[in-house]
Amino acid sequence: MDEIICPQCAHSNPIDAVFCERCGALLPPARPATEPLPPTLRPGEEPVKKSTAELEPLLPAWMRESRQVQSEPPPAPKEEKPAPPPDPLASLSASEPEEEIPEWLKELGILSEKPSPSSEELRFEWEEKAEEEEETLLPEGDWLQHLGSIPSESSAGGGAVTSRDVGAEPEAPSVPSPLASETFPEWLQGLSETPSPTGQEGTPDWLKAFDKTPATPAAETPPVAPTGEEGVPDWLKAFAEAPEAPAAETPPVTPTGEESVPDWLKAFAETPAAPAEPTPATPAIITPSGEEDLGALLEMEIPDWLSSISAETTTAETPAEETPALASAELPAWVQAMRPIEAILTGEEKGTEAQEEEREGPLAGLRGVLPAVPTPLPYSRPRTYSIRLNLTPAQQTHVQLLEQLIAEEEQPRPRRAVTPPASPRLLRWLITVLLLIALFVPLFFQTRLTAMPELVPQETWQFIQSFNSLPPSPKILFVLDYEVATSGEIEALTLPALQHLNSTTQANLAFLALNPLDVSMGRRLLDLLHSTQPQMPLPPMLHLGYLPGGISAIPLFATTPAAAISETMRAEWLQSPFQKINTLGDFDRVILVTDNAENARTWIEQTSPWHPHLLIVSSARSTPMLLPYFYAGQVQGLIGNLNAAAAYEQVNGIPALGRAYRDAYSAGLLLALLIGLAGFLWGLLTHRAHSQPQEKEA
Amino acid sequence: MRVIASALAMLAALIVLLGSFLPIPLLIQLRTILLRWGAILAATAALVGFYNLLAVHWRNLRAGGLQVLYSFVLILAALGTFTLTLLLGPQSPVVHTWVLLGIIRPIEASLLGILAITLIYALARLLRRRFDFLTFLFILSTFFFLLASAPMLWGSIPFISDFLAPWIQDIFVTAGTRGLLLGIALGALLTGLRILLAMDRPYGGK
Repeated sequence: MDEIICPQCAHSNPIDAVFCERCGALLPPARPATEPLPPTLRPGEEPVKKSTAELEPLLPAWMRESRQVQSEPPPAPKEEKPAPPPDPLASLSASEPEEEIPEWLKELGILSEKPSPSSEELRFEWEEKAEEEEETLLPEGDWLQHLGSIPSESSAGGGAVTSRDVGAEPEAPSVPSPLASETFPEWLQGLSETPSPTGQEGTPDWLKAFDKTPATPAAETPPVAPTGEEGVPDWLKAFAEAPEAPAAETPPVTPTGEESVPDWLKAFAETPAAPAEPTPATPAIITPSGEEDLGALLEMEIPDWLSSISAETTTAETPAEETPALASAELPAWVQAMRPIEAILTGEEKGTEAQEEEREGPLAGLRGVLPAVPTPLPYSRPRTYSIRLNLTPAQQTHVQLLEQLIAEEEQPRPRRAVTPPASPRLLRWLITVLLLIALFVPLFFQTRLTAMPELVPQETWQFIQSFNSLPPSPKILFVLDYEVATSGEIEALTLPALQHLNSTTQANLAFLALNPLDVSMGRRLLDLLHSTQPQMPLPPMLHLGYLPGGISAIPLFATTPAAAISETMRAEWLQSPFQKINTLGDFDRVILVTDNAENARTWIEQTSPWHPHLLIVSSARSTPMLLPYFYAGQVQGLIGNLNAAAAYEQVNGIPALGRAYRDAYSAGLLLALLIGLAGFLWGLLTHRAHSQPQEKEA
Repeated sequence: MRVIASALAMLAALIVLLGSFLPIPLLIQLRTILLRWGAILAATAALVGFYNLLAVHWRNLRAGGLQVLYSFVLILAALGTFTLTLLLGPQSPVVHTWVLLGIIRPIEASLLGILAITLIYALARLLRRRFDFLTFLFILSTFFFLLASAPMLWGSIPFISDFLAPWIQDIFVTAGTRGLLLGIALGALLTGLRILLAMDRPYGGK
């Protein structure tokens, strides 16, 4: 793995980045690709609080010292300690000058004596991660406590640097550790189980370059330059004092010691063995051939203090006997994770080998460019924000007003007392009874209270004049198109015309029905005529029956009446006085009896070219729609209501249904008028009564 | 198929139209034949409608429910009238007296009587339902024409029945009715032209 995923924004950062490039959050230290990720807290899991007090002894000495510097008085003089082993990391404590602290540790803010608030938070997070990592390592056998015994097995003198400084157990025995090999980390297991005399296999490539350089005998190495006293940190001074140890007795390089020493410390141990001839100072790490790019990258990643040391060690020879002391140093995993060089080398090599080669797209042929498996994002505790609102007085006033409005809406309003209206059913029955009395009493008692009309309507007068101008034995066609329900009104309107015809001329009558129910209504009209004029013989008549097709057959009947009627009626047609009738215009008069304005309009418009002298008897509801045709001349005369029928009867001098219905008609209309007027006044009063309380409430 | 139907419809419409304007015997005969076909089709459509009515109420009868009784009576009355008329003829005294004057006429007249009572009741409660200017105008016009057309004991109401009501009838009512009829005529003309030019094809489902 050659990248670090930001735990805050999941941004992919370079391996050497400390802060996220996107959000600026502190990035976790990079770990080798082979090391498993620490257990993360997954959604839905409750974080478990763990006590880290017992892990305090596991903290490195320099960290505890840094705490003591801040909280406790200065420690006791070092003379009391019996030859404390040199600790390379202990020299990084607060007693070290500020300028000696590596840049990459400065960025982490670990060693600053007076951390700023921001660095305090950073250090807290860093320590917290370190504690979590130690907690994960603790169940594996407390391996850190036994790390000190591993190098002591190989080191002959007590001056060798061991991991006691890290494990903080100076009294740990130097006997071989009986700890099982599986309790060690993987990198430690590899070191202990596969001892290589030269360390060629476990040494990275960049260290192989040092191996290629011939080792210089200890006698030929010049003494340490005194000029390096000021610039060399304390822990490197221990290196300088190391030659006092019996170098002859110590093997030059112990296999276990080499294995246990981290690679970056091997560089310290072996670079003094570089050739005595002066070498260029800047390339502190010599890369093998063909890896110049990687060397340049490593050069950029080496801290300043480390590069300066490397440059000095190239000029000043260090005895080869000191290497075992350096090789025995061990670091915990969290310190190893902080090594940028190690992380880059192992991550790049292993990651590149493990990942597949891209086969498609612009990245074809490259290996390890894209991650094969998405890295699970580590869980980070979300930041907490304060939910306390800072409201201005105006906003608080608005909130109170809104709460007041909501509270008023929830309160039930007192319902206004409404007087229940009178029962509609009772009112309907009252209207029904009154209307029945008003209609049936004049009919039953045959009252003649109302006066007959003095004036005849104009259209009715034209109708009468049309009949007065009939030739002798006229052929008159009655077209019946009305519902049976309105037959009472239609018969009262038609009967005066029939009386007129029957009394003045010997007309030949033909009845044609446009409605199937009107087929036998012609017979009823003649029956009524006979009842009003029993002394008069009935005129000859021909029932043509129903016109097949209804109103759709009107044009056919207008052009060829004999062809339009049914076959059964055609024989009677040919034997009747109407046999010479070829078109509708051959009839002397055509009278349309209808209560349907739409059908009447169709008849008028379809038959006007063949018969311009059309007469119409229509109910009162259809008359307003037909009057325009009368005024336009398409209709010669019209009987449109009961007043017109009564006037026609007045002209004929023969009382008929118009006179009998007139009193009932007048009583019904007046009663309807009175009921409507009463309802109108009652509505005005009730509306005013309803509107006044509403105005008061408003 | 659609093209053939449109062509036939346009051809029939042209023949009937030309037969109405041009006194050519061939056109008149063709026009008469086409109109007879139309009348037969209309009669057949009425017969199909009668069958559909029976089928709908037969399904209601089989489905059950509250409408079973009405559907049963309707089917029974329809089939009885159809059978009697078919056997005895439409002008038979039995059909004329029993069916037409004894059943149909009183029932339809009663429905109209109920309609009259309902309208008067609605007039009485109209102002409580809706209180605005148009309601006032409607009620006042109703009162005026009822009063003008109602026969009085003394004859007619002077000035109202003799002059004002006929004047309103001849001017305002006739003007409005003519406008309505002109609109209907223009609509019918436009519809005829669209069918003649096959722009509307009611026979083709469009």
